[in-house]
Amino acid sequence: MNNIQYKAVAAPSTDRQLFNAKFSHDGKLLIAGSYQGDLRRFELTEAEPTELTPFGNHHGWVQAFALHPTENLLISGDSWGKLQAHDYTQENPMPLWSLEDAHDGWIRSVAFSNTGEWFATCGMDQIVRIFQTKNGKLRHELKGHNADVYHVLIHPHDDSIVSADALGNVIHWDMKKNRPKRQFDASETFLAHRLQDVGGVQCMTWSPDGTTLLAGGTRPKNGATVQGIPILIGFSWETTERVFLKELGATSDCYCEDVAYHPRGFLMAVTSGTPGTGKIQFLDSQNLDTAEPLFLLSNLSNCHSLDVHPDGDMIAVTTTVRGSNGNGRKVDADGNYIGNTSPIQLLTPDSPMK
Amino acid sequence: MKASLSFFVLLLTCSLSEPLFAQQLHPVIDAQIEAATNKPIAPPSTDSEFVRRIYLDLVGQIPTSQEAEQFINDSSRAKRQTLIDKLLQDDRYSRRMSEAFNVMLMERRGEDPDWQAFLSHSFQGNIAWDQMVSSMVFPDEQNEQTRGSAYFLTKRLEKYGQNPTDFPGLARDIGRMFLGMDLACAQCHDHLFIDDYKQADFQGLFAFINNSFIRRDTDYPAIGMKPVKTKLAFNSVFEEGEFSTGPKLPGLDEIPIPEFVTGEEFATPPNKETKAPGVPKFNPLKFLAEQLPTQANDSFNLNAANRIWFLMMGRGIVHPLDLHHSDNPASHPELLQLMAEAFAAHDYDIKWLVREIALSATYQRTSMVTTGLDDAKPREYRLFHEKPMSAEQLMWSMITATGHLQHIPDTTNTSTSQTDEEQDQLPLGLEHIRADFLAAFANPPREPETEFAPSVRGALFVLNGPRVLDWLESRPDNLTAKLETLETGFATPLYLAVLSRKPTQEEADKFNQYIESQSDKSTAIKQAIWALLASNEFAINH
Amino acid sequence: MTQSPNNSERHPLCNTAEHVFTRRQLLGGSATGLIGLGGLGGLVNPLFAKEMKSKEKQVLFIWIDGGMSQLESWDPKPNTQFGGPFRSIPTTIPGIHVSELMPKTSQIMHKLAVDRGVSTFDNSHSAGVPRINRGDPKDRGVIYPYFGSAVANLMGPGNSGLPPYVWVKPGSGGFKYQDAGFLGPKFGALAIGEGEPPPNILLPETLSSTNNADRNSLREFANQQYSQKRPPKFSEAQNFVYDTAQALMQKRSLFDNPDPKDVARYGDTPLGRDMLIGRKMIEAGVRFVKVNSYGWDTHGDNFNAHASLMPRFDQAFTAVVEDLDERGMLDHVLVIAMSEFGRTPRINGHIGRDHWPEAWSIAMTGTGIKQGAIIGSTNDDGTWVTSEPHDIGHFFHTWFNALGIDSEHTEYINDGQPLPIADEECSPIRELLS
Repeated sequence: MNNIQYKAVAAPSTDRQLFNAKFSHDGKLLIAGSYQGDLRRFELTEAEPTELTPFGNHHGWVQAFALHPTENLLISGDSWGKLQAHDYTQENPMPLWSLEDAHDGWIRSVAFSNTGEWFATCGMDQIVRIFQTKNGKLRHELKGHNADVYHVLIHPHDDSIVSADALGNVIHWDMKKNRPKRQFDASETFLAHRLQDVGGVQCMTWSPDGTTLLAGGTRPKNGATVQGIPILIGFSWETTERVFLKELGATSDCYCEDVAYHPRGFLMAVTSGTPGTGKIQFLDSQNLDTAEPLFLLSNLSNCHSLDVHPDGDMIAVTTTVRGSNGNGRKVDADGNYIGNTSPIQLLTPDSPMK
Repeated sequence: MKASLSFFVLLLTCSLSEPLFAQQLHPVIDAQIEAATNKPIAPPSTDSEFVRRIYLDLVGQIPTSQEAEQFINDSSRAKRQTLIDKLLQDDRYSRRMSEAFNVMLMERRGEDPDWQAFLSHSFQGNIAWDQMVSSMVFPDEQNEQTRGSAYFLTKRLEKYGQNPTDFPGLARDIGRMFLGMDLACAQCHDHLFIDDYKQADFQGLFAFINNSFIRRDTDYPAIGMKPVKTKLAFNSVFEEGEFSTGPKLPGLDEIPIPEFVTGEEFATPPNKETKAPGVPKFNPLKFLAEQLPTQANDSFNLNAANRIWFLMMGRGIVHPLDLHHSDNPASHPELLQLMAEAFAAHDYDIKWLVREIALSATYQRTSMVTTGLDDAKPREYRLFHEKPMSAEQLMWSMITATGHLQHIPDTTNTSTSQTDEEQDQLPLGLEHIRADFLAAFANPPREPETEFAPSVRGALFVLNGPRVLDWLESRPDNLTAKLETLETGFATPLYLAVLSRKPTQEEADKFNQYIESQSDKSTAIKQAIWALLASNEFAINH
Repeated sequence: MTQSPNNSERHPLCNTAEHVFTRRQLLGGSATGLIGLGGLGGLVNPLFAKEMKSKEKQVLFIWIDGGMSQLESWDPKPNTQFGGPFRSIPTTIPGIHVSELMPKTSQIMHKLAVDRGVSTFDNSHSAGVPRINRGDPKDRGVIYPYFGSAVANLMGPGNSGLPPYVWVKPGSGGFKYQDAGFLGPKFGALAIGEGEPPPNILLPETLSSTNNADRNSLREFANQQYSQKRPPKFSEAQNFVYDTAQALMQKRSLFDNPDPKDVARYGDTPLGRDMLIGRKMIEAGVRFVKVNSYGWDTHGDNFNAHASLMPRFDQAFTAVVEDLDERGMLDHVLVIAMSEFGRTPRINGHIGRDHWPEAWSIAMTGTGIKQGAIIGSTNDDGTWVTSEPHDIGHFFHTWFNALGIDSEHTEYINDGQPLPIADEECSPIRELLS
């Protein structure tokens, strides 16, 4: 695994900032939730990505969505608590069903079961919920977190449900008794600073063989304008013990925002710093102690999410616009107040990888 | 008054022949001060006032009661001059000056043993001020006794809080401390209302230090310099255009920056093994050391004289000390000029100037307000004006007043491990005492101690803090023990010990009656001592 | 050429109010010296001073340092481009909504007055904080006092024996005399840091109260002797700090461990605890109490930050307002809650908001304030003020008037120089006054 090099090939963006960008299963679409009540899509079949019609009558931020493992179905949740299901391949997708108050407030994460028959959601109301995919009917409520639940994910082998919160508490749920079965300690990602709760688990993933659970975030140094060293913690799924902790940068690199395994087996992580440096790094998951990443791209601005194309090569990283911060009134040539956007960096390997 | 005036006229006509005032500055001081006002001038201080004041100013503490009493009872006419000369030779002179210059130059930013050694060595040897300044801006690493002078620069390059390295702050302080000019508000443009302070002045100073850095390869403070290749470019927020400057002192010539072929900038290249940074062939600080503290640099001379005047008189002839400009002129410009010239002519001999000021009638005036002096302003020097005491002066004075000096253990070589019992008790060593007094009375870092600003913190320390109260406990030969041996007549030894004078009849009656009337004399004695220690008369240098 | 950092990285000194205001000091004036005045500030027109002495109004000034986001608090714009994730919730005033992050405040909205049309000029902390605290007056060549020092001077300390201006804050305590500007150190703030009483506030056990009385009586005698023959300034300053120290000693119960019920009500957080001490100080009669909360400068991760910051403010703020109301104190205590600016509508690259003085909100209640007055408005996006914008000078006028001080005709007299107490180009906001 030497000489891995990725290069940027395109960076589609639109008139609203975007959250996590994901590839459709056939690789032809790139989908992301926006900061104002809808989802955006880009078609990737041509040389230049082109934007399709937005969809989803959401409110606020559409941060959470997941794609059904087999069907062209997408479940999305917004920051007001609304949940919807759409066929995302339609030209003008209409909701298959819609739940206005699936959660009280911000839905942070959605994850499908392995067959897609049900899915899990979690959010600011500190509750994890299980719904039936076909009609949005509520099946379970899991209570046990004492903080905003940032992530929920399903084990690739046996549908175990795991959720992680803003305090760095990770719970493996007992589905028969609707309560926590085991807990993993990622509290190193959390700091109570002055009046603020800082950090928490920002991203999670499984190792391909399902034996290791990874949680990423920051080891916060201070709140307000957060600084901290981005960290990735690996837990043994079997024992809940920590098996590694990898630091991904300096205190100005702040958050490990997303992490994923490449089909070829190496680990990928993106970070978002303050001020705005974003980095993509690939790591040898067998040798995490090695200081040098297999690949490092550090000239991006804040990176917020990471997804791998089904063909196993292209990756999509949502970023932001350089220079998009600053105090006071910034206007364009016509005197209009300038907003912000989220270019999605599409990168492919420079040369075929072995 | 008239006599002084004619003396002054005589002096003026003679002043062009330099030997007269070159030896005796203090008559010139007095003549200048007196000639500048028509209003009444206060008489000389009493012996009690003088002995306390001169001890505080020259050795940083009040006299012991024996020293005070001896001086008061001495009938020789030249006793003030004799005392001045004696104190200037005292070991504690260098301690006092080190403390005072540490506060003035470092403004409570921190402590460092090498810096302390530099100050002690300088004042013990009466090293000239220009040499001290040279050492500070271009430290000599080879000289173990003085290399700590680098702390002046290195401490200011250390980051504090969330701030980046404060290069502008360092440039500003070189201007403030050594030229009497606070150019902070001239960084981005010419000063908005001080016409004399130009942006080019600030940037010229900045160009001396913006390539410096703190060396990390030594265990003493040391300053490094990167190769300087180009002039410093700067913009004004108000004026169009690009400007540039090399290192340049206000009013003096710009230092040309030599060109070197890349790879040949270093006289000694960096050493990767020892991590010693390279020594560049061109170091602006070397030129700063040559140009800054020189007779040709008027601002330097005026500032030096002004600061030493401030140490003795409590106010600069230019005040504030770092804001000398045409719209904030000296209260006595000619005096300042003459003092500056004389100081330079005497090779910047600090002890000489201190002595001259101490010998002047201006310094020796009483601080008591008598007829016609109600309206006396500090800048007139018709009266000696009260001065604050530094945390260090308060500390040494309280130790002396209570007779505690002999009881301070030498903790410099003891092990640091303590029993549980010891940890609960008040730590007795001098370093702990110092820490307590600094916590109670010193300003926070970077706030100059030039005005009288008493604090509630200090008052509570004296009222209820364990330290001062501990010194009131009876110990062999301390003040409490001595007073406990008496049956009557407490007031005189009490006043001599704490306030360096004899009590008036009313004061004696008050204190004697109080102590005599209490059944628990020991406790009463402590309250009496405390009352004087906590009094305004004690806390103020008058 | 190497570039001097003077433009983009302006030295912090170039951003301070001293940049504009210290002409007098620079000209060698005695701005930082003492004001040797006894009793109530002689800097005020004497007739007015007499009148002020009789009133017992006080101020609780809640300073939210760093810039609370108006979009996540008083002026939400849900589901807009810049609105962020949160919903808005109705309040006890029909038609008025606040952010879902302040549910308790929504229930006392009818007791509050809020101006959502605040527009000020400074978008930096280092200069902005002092400017706002000083009411951003016109440059008169002096350093104007912070609002607390101004009130301490104009209204005096009252009968509590405590200092007139107490500052409850995290971090260091001590005497912060710089707040007083040209008024002199006597009108600075006594800061209580981390809820800790100043060190050495307790009379040692080895001293009886008789001992203490004796020693102070002797001390005062000695001071009288000394001051018979010396100028007053230094002596008065010393006497003042000793008097203040002793007043604090007598009121040391203010620093005792709080009642757990109070802690539960205000929240066991730094702000909750400090707000409780603030209430106790007000109850003890301190004229002006400032309570600080730090950590609001959410350039990065603004939304998660406000999600945890706002509820704690919400709890502490409503607790103190309701507490004062229950104790019948809201009719003579002016309560203000504000920052130095708001936060940008635009969401930056690290999901934060930057500084925004252009359009933000200030809340207040208490004496002289019209309850339920929600005035001022911004456009749909939250980018500009659409009503008559109000600068901080307007608020100083308003607050002085709420306290019974005629802001447009009262002046300080500084060394013979008359100085307006609030920006003469501004005026009181009548709609906020009862």
